Parts: sequence; structure tokens; C-alpha cells
Amino acid sequence: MDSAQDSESQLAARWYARLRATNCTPEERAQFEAWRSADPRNAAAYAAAERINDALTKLAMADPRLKAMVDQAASSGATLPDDELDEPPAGKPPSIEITARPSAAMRPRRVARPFAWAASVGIVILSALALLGPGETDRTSEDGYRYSGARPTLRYASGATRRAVTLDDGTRVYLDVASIIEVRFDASRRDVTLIQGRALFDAAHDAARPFVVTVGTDRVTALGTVFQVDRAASEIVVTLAQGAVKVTSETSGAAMHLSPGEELRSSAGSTHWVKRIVDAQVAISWSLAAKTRAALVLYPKHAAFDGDQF
Amino acid sequence: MSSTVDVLTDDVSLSASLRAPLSIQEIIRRHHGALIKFLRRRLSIAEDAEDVAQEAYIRMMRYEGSRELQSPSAMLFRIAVNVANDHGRAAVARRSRSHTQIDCVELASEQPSAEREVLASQTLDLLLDTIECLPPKCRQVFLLSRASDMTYPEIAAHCGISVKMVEKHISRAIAACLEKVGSSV
Repeated sequence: MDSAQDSESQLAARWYARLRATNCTPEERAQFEAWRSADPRNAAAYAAAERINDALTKLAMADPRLKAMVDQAASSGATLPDDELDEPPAGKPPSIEITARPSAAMRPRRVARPFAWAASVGIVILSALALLGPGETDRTSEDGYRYSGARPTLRYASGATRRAVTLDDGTRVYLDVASIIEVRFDASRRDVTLIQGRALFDAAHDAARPFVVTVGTDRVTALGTVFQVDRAASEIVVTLAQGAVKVTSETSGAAMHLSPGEELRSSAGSTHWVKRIVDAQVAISWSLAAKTRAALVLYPKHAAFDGDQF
Repeated sequence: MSSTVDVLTDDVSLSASLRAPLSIQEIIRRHHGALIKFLRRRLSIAEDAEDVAQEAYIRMMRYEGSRELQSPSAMLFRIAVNVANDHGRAAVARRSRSHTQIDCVELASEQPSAEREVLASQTLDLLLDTIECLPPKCRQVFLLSRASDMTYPEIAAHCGISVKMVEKHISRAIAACLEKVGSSV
């Protein structure tokens, strides 16, 4: 193979990898077509790349040697060392700071039971202004109500499957996997508590009853329709897709405003929020796959919740 | 860049005492999609992927709260491979009466000749040698991209690297393969 061929191979390999990236643009595809049709050798190199890859995909399970290598790759996770240090620093997400983690991770936490978090619940207030029309209502049966004081509380949980829920007022909630919310509606308020996990809210308009979401130890007041609240192990993230949001720290009293496409992040144990610009559509893209069918019950401990809505 | 935020969360550089305790919920949330895609390719009956994943989560439960796992996603996939293998053994007995997809039939071990049609055996050996000689991370990324439907971000999350690096590794691997066997495929 001469050096000219090598260079076509390099380009063919690069194009093959680029075309399969989720962020490959139509312009790039057009550039690729131009490159491929510019020279039969380009087309041949790319066709060879396709044949190799197709063969490997087909043989991945049929060839014992290849299968063993694939299983090894899957089982190695992030434990393999990086090959070399040619990863561009710019490629790293700016918000990830290892130094910020230990403080959160070192906080004494006796058990990893997420439900213990409920003890330290603060308040996120999100009142919806604009809204979509109420979707179809899959109202839950009376059996689903739990009574805490005078107000009935509904608990919705997802297991290994994402789940979409329509609340009484028409608000649509998308639950990511392993997420739990509690809902209490009465004549003057709509209260939702994010117990764990991530939820996207498409809040229905009801000027008489503010829509209130509770999570973590900070208070967030949001004005808008489509927003996401993520309660992870070490941080809380609020992302706004539409509307406007005000976030108030319950402990410090500081307030911040969010515009569409912005998110606020608060590390566990930290009192301040960090604002970043994000692609909100990417941030909430998981919800597109949320299914309305009942989530699988994953853990026996889920069964211990009275009133779980599966 | 929010799509790449998850990438470094395995924090393999932290010592055990600094690691957050393992949360199965968090693991499921981060890796369920990727695991299902991997298993759908891995299993002869793609529909069994959910069952195998569920079983893997249940087996993983014993590590809940542990700070000892260096790479929880690696452990999850390793367990899932074991479950899939158990599953595969059980499935062999049922194969005669189960409905499988056409391409699964092609891959069934009863028909070794079919795989030889895909590549000459000499070429295949050379190709696998080439892959084996790739740098470890490059090989891992490339194999996952070939043997699962995992997206680049999913592979990135599993391997603890950036999405951009996933593309680079795949490109590099293909270039190496083309160099070795490009003229004979």
C-alpha cells in the first residue's frame, strides 16, 4: 500500500467516524459526498472501511475470538488507562472539576439510601405562566392516594424504564429512570416534591394555583413552562427550556434568574449555584423516549411504598 | 456541551475513600440505555435485553453504598455479560422452538460457513490481530462501536472519555484496519 493510499485510508476512516457521530451536520454529509465522488480511490477506500466495519459487526457474536474481545471491552468501563495524552483540553466539559468532588463525596453519609434525602428537603418554587393545553389525563385511581394531613399525596415512581405522567391539572411530567416525585394538589397550591432522580415538567397554566416543586436544600422560584429538575447524588441541577426562572437559595437568600437554555447547578453541601449556558434540548432529550407504559418494578423496596403509581 | 457532562463522572482517579458511595439508581440512569443497546446486539434474542439488564441490576444491588468499585459501569457490564452468558446457555435448549430474526439465524453457531463468507479466514485473522494490537482505549471504543448500537456519548460515558475522543479512537482504529486489510476486503 503506497503512501497516497494511506492518506485516502486516513480520510476514509475519519469520514466513517464522523458520519456516525450524533452531531454530524448535513453540511458535513455534503462535504463527504463531494470527497467520495471526487476520486474513485476515495470511494474505494471508504467502501473498504464500510466492509471491514460491517464484517466486524456481523461477526461480533459469531466469532469466538472477537466476541471475547468485545466482552472485555464492555467489562473494562473507564478502568483502562488513556492511550496517550492527546485529548484536547478544550474537549473536556468545563464544569467538571475533580477538586469540587471530594468535599461532596467526603461528607459523612452513613447509608446510600436515597430516601434518607427526604429529611433535608428544601423548596423549589416554580410557577407556570405560559403552557400547553392539558394532555390526556391518565388519572390515578383512588387507591393511589396517600393521606398526609388533610391533603392527599400521590407518589409516582419509575424503575428501570422512563415514564410519562399527566397530573390532574394537565401538567405533563417525564420521569427519568429511578426517579420519584410526590404530588399534592389543593385549592390554592400545586406542590410537587422531587424525592430522587430527574424530572421534566411541562406545567399547565393555572394562575390561581402556583406550581411548586420541592427539592434539595435551596429554594428555586421559576416562571416558565418547561423546566427540568435533576436530583443527583452530589448535586442538584435546574435546567430551563422555555420561560424564565428565578432561583433562590433558601440558606443564603440569594436569588438568580434563568433564561431559556441556562441551567443552575448546586453541589451537595454547597450554598451557591453555578449558572451555565447549555443546550436545553440536549439536556431534556432523554424525555423524548419516556414511555407511558407502566415502569417495571425494579427493587423490592419500591414495593414498600404505599400508593406507588406504576 | 451539556451532552458531555456525564463523561468524567466515574472519577477513576479518586481513591476509594473519596469516591461517592455506589448508587444503583445513578448507575441505571447513566448506563441503562447503553447497556440495553449492548445487550440487544449481544443476545441472540434482542427482546431479552431488558430481562438480562434487570437481572444484572439485581445482582449489582449487593454493591449498593460501596466505595470500593473503581468503575461501576465496568462492573455493571461485566455482570450483564455473565447474565447474558447464563441466559444464552438456557436459550440453546429452547432454540428449536424460538422465533429469531433473520440476521440472528445467520449468526447462529450452527452455520460457521456463513461467517467465513463475510471475510476470508486469513483476512479475519489479520484483522483481529490488528485490533488486538491497537492501544487499549482505542480498541475498547472501537469494539463497542462495532458490537453494540451505543452512541458516541454512551460509549464516552462508559469509557470515561470525551465524545470527541470516541470519534478519534474509532477513526484511528479504522485507519489501522484499512492499512492492514484494506486491499483484501
